[in-house]
Amino acid sequence: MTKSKERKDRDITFSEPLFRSPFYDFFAEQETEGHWYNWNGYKSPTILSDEELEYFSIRSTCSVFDISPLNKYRIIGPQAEDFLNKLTVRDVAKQNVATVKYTLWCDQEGFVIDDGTLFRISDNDFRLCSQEKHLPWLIDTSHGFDVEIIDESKHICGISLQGPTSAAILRLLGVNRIDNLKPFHLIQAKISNYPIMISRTGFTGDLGYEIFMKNNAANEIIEKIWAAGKNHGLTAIGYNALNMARIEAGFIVANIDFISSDHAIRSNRCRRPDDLGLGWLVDLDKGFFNGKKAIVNSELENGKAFKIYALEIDGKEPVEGSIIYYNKKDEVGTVTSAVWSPMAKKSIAIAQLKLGSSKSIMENLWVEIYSLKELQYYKLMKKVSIVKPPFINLARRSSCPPVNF
Amino acid sequence: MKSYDVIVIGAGHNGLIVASKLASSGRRVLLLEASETYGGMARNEVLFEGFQAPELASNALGISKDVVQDLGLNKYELLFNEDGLKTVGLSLKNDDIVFGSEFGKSIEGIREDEFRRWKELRKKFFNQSHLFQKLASQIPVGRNQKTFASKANLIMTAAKLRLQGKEQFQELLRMITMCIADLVEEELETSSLKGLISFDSTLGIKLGPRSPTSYLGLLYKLSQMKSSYEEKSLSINGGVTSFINALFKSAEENGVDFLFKSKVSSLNISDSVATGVKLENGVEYSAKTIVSSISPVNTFLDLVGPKNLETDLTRRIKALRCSGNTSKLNIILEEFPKLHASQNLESNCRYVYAPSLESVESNFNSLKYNELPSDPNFEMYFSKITSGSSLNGAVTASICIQNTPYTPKGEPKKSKQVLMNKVITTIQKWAPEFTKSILFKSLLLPNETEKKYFVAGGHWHHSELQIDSLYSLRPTFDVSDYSTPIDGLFICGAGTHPGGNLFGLSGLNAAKKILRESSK
Repeated sequence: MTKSKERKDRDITFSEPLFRSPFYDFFAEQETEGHWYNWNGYKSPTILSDEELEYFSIRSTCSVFDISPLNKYRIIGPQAEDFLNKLTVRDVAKQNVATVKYTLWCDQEGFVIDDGTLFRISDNDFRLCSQEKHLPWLIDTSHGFDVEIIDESKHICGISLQGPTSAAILRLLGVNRIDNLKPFHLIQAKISNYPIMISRTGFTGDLGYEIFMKNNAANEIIEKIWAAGKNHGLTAIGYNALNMARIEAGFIVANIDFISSDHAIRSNRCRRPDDLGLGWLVDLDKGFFNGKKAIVNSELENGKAFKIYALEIDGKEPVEGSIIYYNKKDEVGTVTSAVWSPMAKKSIAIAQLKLGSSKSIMENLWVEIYSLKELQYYKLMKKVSIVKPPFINLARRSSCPPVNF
Repeated sequence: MKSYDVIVIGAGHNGLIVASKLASSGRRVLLLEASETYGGMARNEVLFEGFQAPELASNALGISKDVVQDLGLNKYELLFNEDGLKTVGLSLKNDDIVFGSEFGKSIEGIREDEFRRWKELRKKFFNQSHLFQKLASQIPVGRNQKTFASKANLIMTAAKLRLQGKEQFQELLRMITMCIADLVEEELETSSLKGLISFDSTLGIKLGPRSPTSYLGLLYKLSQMKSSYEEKSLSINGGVTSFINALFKSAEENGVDFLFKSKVSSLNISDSVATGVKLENGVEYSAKTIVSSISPVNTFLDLVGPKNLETDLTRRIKALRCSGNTSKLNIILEEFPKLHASQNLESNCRYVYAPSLESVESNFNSLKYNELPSDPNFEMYFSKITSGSSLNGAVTASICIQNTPYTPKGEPKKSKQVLMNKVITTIQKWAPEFTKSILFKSLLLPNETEKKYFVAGGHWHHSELQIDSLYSLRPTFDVSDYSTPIDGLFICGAGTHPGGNLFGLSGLNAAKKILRESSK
């Protein structure tokens, strides 16, 4: 064994406790601020250069974000569809080949374990991407199904191109079919002869694409994209910018906006799809699936649970983590995510509230904000109004073919 | 498609009890059995030259008095050991101890002060077994079963225990999770007595005398002894068969339809509601209520199928410890074996070879590593064949070998031979002419029991009877009240509370539950 090989194989658990994605070198080169965090065991950027500029690249030019730390499971086999129908709440039989669906899966109490995106690559070939790790759950669910489950998280990497000029950049790279790619659809393409999977999906509510490839293609492809994006304002971004965009789009994140039932220690923290505002995903007409019975039964007892709401708040003070009151007096819940939306020009938030169905309660909600101004707290009570997500609605997100900016 | 009110799967004793009880309430009941005859693991099999006897269940432990009374079984010919069953602890050194009936009410062959200590200990054992005795006939309070009556029952049971006095209650709490080895070593000296008690505590469960909670095995056994019909055990001579026949007759008289050689391949389930069964030959029957008396593993994984089952429950069922660890050796002898001059073979006796606590523990150690025990412990019963077959006058020896692995290491045929020889060599030392008079012998390992009797793991209790799988944790916490997440499907086999041997309360409790559910 050569010396260099030895060095490569040595145990790096302690010297480098966090994994590095295949795109790490590229993103490390872009960083000037140097804020990193641990995302699913990977060293991932929170801010690379400037949070605001990064955010505005999503909305006005194009951003590139590393999504390699996502968990990616490949599900292959003649009964892959049946298996996924038992696992997830949507009817997978209704999902066409070459499409992507947002979905979620529950335990036997009907409590949400996690949400994720399901890519139907062919009839019997799926990829499931999720925030949390679920291999044991998938394997245990697959008992009795003719299906193979492969954890390809470490072998497949991905980047997300989000922003108005993203389509133009891909066009420059010779991906011509991008014009016909509708939202939530996917195509197989090639850049520099490396096969890639492009889907018109993202976490920003904007025009954008996610590109998955094998690890060995990472360097070549990110270089090509970076070069192509030179005149299109392509900017590398960290999580903070993405987070602002995803709140504007009204997307929720497991273990931030709700506690995954896998993680919850306190039983009353678990949430059903309906509580997350995702009841529309659940297909009760299909056959058996995990949690079906509990979900059906819970519809009868509904009303008392915490539910997720989208809120607009008067003023411009940050409200993250604040408590919401009814009539400025009775606690009804907390804010889980909040941001000043540069697009909506409003303070917006996602919160879990226990309101019941009474209209009068909904119209008399207040948020308590402790605003720190030069070492002194000011306690503010600001009016809260419940709105229907998303907070922003961009025509370019769904226009087909996408506009060439 | 033919339709019934109730379909019972499996004609073991629990299946027969449920079928008979539900039929007596006026329901039309169909009982489906995979093999050719009724009785499940207690059924008769042709052993040798047309001679039939239960191949597995020679176990003479009692049957629940509730079952006898509820089904009126005493009008049939039930055979009991009228004078109780004595146990001889073989030590091969001419100092056998004779353990009197009722678990050592009297003991021959030990010193007087030792007997005094034993008497105290025995009293404590029986006192504490009361807890299990009370719980056995209750439907476990669990996730789904939270009625006022069931809770009140549980609280009353706890209160009664507490009312026995602070000291006794504390003693129960101290002892209940202990290992039997510590308890007997605290009080007793005689090696063979300690061996015998260790053997009885751990027979049929995967624990050694030094494993924590092995004392529970003994409590469980004593509670069954106490709550069996008039505290009598079934006769060694045909008692098991008389019980099974009585159940069959009772079911027949109540109008149960029987179908043998009808193995159910799957349940018809639509939207978590069971609507019927499908047999292996393709025939289907429909019913609103389906009761499965087979093992929970077979019921959920094979019949219901993971496609109709929550992942959570699939996980728990797959995690059930159901691999058996007791083998059965049947031997037919020309006549009662002759012993050394100083000893006599008593006809109404259980013979146990467990010379010491260490011997039982070391056998358990072998089991842990899937090895055959070096000096296997076993219990055996002799009974004379009186039926008018060509074997008239011959004697059967029915032998349970403890701590034998589910699949022993090495070549299966060879390890069977080795195990059989080891046991016979031991008996030979005690009865010198034993080998000469052997007409027939056959050994059934747990993995063979699994195939022949359609029981996952070949476990006599369907799943381990241990502290984490009793009462409302049996078989798992969410299906412990005999109902299942599949509407209309109930379970009633030995894998449910209280399970165990030929006791029969699993079946009776399940039947009561079903009657109560449908009267709502």
